[in-house]
Amino acid sequence: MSASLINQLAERLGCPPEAAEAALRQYIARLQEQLAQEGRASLPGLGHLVRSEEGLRFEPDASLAQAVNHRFAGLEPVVVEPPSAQAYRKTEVVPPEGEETEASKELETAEEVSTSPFYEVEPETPRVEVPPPTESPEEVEEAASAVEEAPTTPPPEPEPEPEPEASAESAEPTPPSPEPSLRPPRPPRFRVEEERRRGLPVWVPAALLIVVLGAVAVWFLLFSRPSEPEVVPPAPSQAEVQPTTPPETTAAAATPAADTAVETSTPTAEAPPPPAPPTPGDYALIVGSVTSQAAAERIAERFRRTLAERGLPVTIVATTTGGTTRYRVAVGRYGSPEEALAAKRQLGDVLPPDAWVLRIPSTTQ
Amino acid sequence: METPTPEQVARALAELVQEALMRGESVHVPGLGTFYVDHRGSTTERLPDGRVVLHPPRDLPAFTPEAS
Repeated sequence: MSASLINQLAERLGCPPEAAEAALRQYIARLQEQLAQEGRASLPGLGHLVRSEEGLRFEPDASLAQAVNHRFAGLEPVVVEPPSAQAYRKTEVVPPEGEETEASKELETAEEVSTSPFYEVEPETPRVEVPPPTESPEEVEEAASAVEEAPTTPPPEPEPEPEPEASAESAEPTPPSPEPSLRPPRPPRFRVEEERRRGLPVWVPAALLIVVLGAVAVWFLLFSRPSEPEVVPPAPSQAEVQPTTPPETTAAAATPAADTAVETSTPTAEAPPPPAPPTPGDYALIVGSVTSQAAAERIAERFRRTLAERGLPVTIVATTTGGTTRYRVAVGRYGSPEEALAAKRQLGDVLPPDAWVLRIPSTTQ
Repeated sequence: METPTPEQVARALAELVQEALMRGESVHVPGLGTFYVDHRGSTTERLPDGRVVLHPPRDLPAFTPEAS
């Protein structure tokens, strides 16, 4: 770990690893000395180290804390109201038939609500399907006495309690089935009915699953290929990323004042190379964060002047956190935090050392 | 550029540490300690008036001093 740190440090400082290690050692020794003497040492760009009774404590700078929290940047606590008491009352008032304890009331109403649809719905389906076949064959086959019996059979069907009745029905008709032994289709018909009452047969979910999988496969084949060429061009160097920003700033400016954030008056003098594909970046370097919009405009104007020749967009992003609106001056747009940090390193002295990377949701596009 | 100045070292170190933390990695600085990311999951807080506050998750920079 430390070896890789030394190597990275050497690479960044442009010196051999030995020199970097020596320099780091020297720097740490100075820090420790300072800590021993003053009980507090500053790590510029990171925070402060404070010596306390428990040991060394690290107090991160706000810029570091915000940069580290980039994945959850902009998330605010949400206050959820409890469901109103009236909503509860409604459900309690509906079933005031039995005068018992509240718990039993609730149970009863729950039962009633759940069963009542069954009474209505379930007998209807057998009514439609069962009586016509049972009546018609029996009328044809048997005498008037049999016809009298047949009408008697349908009335019990519409009665409640479908499941026990189903078994009763199946028990009833099976004896008649041997009489007309010429007719084999009957038993299967009842089997189908039983299946319907029990629920969907096993093969239905399986068939649905197969259909869904097929649809997904078709979708994948159709849409995955066109998307590939789109994916290949992005992630360009910084020079290529910059041209993508003008559409963003103009779009942002076009969106109404609902988002006061985007009062970017001048898209700086940029010569937009047309062929570059629009790869909007969500990450920007924040060089200032103030509560007054005028001050933010001043900062933005300063950076627009200093960054004019680089063609980087400078925008103001307003975010309301905890009731206060902060106007953040954002420089550039990058596809990833690493890209943004690399750009920060490149820009070097132009940006303040505590400039930090923030993910700006690209809702304005 | 044979001997980097302390300011250069401090700046390079800060950049390295910040970049590693942003990737979610921890960095051990020999002689000092380890910087790492402390993730706090989202929490819910019940207010006395019955409302509930949902606090979002967050990543905090944290540091463990080297035992010496």
